[in-house]
Amino acid sequence: MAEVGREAPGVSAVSAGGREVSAFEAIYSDHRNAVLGLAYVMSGRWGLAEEVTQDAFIKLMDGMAAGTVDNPAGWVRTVAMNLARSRVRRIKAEIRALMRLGGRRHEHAELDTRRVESEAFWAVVRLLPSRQAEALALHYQDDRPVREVAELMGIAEGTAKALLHQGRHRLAERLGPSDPEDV
Amino acid sequence: MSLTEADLDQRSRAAAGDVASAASNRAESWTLEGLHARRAATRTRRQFAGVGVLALLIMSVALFVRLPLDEESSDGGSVGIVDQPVEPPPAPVDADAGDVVILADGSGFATYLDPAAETAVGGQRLAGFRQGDQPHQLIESGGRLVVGWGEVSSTALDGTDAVRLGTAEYAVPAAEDGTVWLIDYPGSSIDTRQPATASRVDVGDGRVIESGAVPAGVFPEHGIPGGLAVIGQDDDRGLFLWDAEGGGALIEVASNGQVAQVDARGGVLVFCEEICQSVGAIDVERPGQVFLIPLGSSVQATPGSLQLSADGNHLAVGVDILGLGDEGEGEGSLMVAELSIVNGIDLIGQRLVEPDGAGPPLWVAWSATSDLLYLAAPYETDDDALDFALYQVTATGEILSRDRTRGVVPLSGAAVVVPRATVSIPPPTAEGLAACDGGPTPTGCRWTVDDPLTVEATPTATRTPDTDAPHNELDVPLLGRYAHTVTWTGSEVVVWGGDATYNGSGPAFGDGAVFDPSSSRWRPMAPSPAEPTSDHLAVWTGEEVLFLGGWQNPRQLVGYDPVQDTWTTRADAPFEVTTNINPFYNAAVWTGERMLVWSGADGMAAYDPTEDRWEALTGPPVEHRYTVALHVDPRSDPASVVAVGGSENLQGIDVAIRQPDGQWTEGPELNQLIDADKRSAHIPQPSETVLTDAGLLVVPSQGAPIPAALWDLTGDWIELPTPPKPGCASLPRPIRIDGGMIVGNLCGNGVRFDAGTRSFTPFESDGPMGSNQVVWTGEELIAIEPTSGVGSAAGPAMTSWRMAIPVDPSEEE
Repeated sequence: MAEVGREAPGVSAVSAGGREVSAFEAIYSDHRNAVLGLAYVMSGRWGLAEEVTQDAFIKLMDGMAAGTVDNPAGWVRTVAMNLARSRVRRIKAEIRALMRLGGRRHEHAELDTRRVESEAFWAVVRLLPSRQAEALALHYQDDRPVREVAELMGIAEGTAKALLHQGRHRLAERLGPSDPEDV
Repeated sequence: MSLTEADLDQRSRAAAGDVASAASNRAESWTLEGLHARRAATRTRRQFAGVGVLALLIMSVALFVRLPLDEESSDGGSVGIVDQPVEPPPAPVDADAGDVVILADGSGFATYLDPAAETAVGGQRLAGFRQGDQPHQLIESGGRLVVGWGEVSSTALDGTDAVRLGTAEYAVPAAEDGTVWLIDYPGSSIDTRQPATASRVDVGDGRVIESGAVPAGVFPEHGIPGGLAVIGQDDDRGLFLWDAEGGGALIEVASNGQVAQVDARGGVLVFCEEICQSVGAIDVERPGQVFLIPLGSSVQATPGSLQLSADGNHLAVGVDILGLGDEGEGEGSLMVAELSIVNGIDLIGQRLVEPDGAGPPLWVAWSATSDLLYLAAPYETDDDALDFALYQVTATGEILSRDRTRGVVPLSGAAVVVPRATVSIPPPTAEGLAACDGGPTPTGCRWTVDDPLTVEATPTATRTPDTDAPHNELDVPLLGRYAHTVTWTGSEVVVWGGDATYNGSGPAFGDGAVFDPSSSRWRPMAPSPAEPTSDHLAVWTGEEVLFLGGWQNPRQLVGYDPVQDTWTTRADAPFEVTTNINPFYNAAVWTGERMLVWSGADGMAAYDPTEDRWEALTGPPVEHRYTVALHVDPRSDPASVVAVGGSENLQGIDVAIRQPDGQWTEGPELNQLIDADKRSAHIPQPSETVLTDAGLLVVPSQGAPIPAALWDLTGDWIELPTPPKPGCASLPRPIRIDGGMIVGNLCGNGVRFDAGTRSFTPFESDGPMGSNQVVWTGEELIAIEPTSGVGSAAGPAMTSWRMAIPVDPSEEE
């Protein structure tokens, strides 16, 4: 697991272009898979996850060039998760509203049927309150300890611990008797 | 029973590894060059043709810097300035001279909001608006409202006094007050491959003031002085100006801008591309000089939110913050800018306003005096419903008020603001009062500022059935509702559940009523033990109606016996079932012994009502996407079930048959019949299928450039002639009747399919059919529409149209 908080932050806004690209390239190479995984976990859609991951890295590229990013690996994760959550929420709201308008289809929304085998697990994670889901995604998918979960979410460590506890409790409940396989 | 900690850890590790592996495979081919190309493409889209160097220059100097200007400003208004600060806020608004916001609520009715008096009156019928008209269009001009598609009318601001303006596909605002442009195409549908006739008419009497032919290949979008701004319909989607006296010549503004939004006031035209991160602005007298107003790298304008003030001096744009770090999280914002229109456009100042905790604005509208603007922004209520808050903002970006009263601001894509002195708010209708979550007042709804109200779960029916109703209109003894179910039992229609608003933010209903078509009488249903719900499924077993799932309680199952008028609670479903939000909607059918339920996300299960027991089944071997459909083959005994899903990449539909022994047989995909270039225009949906005696029929919705298709359940799909297009806006849903099919729209126009001759016949009827809640009784269609008929003092009502099936001319012979 790569250390999230502190790698390669030394790209200053005024440093030479070559160094900037090099530092970004390293971040991109080391973290894109993990960011993509997080984006998928939060959205459940590979197409959307790929899109927001690339958009997050584009933002990171600009941010690093401007010298406004202290913690690139953490920053890009947070941006990607925010983007994923935001776009899924918008899609859902649009779908619900449009379906009410007499059953209109919504053809341009993100619809991705390519799932992973463990999708049932992540689907339940996504049903949790968003902060709990985010904490669990970082903890499980990105393998972050509580301290880093807190750091990435910008919350106190105790709060992160509580979110993880509540999330795990609910997850265990939901994965238990409610699992369709138990029928 | 919960999973143990150890089991949870094991499953989480496996799930994480699964995703990590898939992500690694997917990102394997990603290159830095590809990322740079995506970045460049995104930026290129922001550049409008003809402004290249100038645009870059402007964007480089007109940096959008978010600086805290006034920490004491209300509602967290982070602000940024350009060039110099905007003018100070205007004097406080005189409440007596305030505004009224008129909203088209999407169902042919208007809602009137009076922010100063904190009242809202909903459910007002707009004279001249017909069922099937574009539900979210509302134009104000000359103190009148313009409504309607196909037939365009104007009404007084209170919705009365309709004046027919003319026959046209649609209307667009004109720059000249008191007039509107009518856009009329040959035939009865919008077809930009043909020239259109544009006529500017007086909204008071329909008198044509000027007229001309708009050339083919462009879409008239908005009026400008003496003409129209039109958007090219080729791949580039450029922006052009059309002069009514110019003989059809077009003046180029942007040749390849992917233009998607246009507004024009006071000689200023603003426009934006589909991905809108900067707004183009021109003085229409100088169309070659495009000024770009950047919105910022991490925001994007929301559709339909580009609004100039009446004098053209101020611009408001609803924007979506795309999320930076912990900020944003998809929250909404508003950019206001002050423009100078002297020798071209210049930017005096701009400011980003961030309404707290709200999403991107649904609409933005200026007051007639150009000093205030109003916007509605969605927010999540404490119980995770979606509702809309109303904001009042000054021209300089100060938030004056925010009102969050549930259910008052309807889902609406159109809002106009008029001075209160010009409109007498009509008295509330039953439908308006029904939506008053805060309780009705003599003038409408009580509207409590910043005080979300507790919602009553089950409103009570208050209207006595009118058994002497005219043949074509029946009073339903229930409050108007959406996302309810209508079930035919063989002798009665059972209406149950639903909720009060389009967007699901209103209260859910737990009540229902039963209609006997033979006597035209309604009777109430006994109180249900089920949690009030909407977006549920209903299946008739021959003895009872099973109500399954729903938005509020996705696993609940109850049975209703219409003969005994009794309810029974049943075993919860093994997975969540709701017909909304879940991208893989659900379907259920009765097979003769069991209810088969298919959830695209969770597989298939069967419910046996005699044993009150669920059994997990193997789902159909088909791809699936938004909607799924199940059909029972009526010719089979025991029943065969046809499952309809959607194939991967949204390219067609996919089918399979479940034989009585439970084995699935894959059917052919429909993709082959659809040309690749037509897929983007329309993709057949499982919900557009119906199992006729001739086989499974797919009927494209109105205007879709694809043929109908038929699968006889054994061979391959065959192409049928493209069905005739019924006029007016269409929300089709096919229904099986007499072994064939009928599909109609909200105007009552439609086509019917004869299974014997495999041919389509168009028809016109006297009522709407495009509802999702339509049943065929064997003799007639009964449509239970959510919206009300004529307002009645007797109380809240829901209206259904009961109509005879139009006679096929060939049958008459």
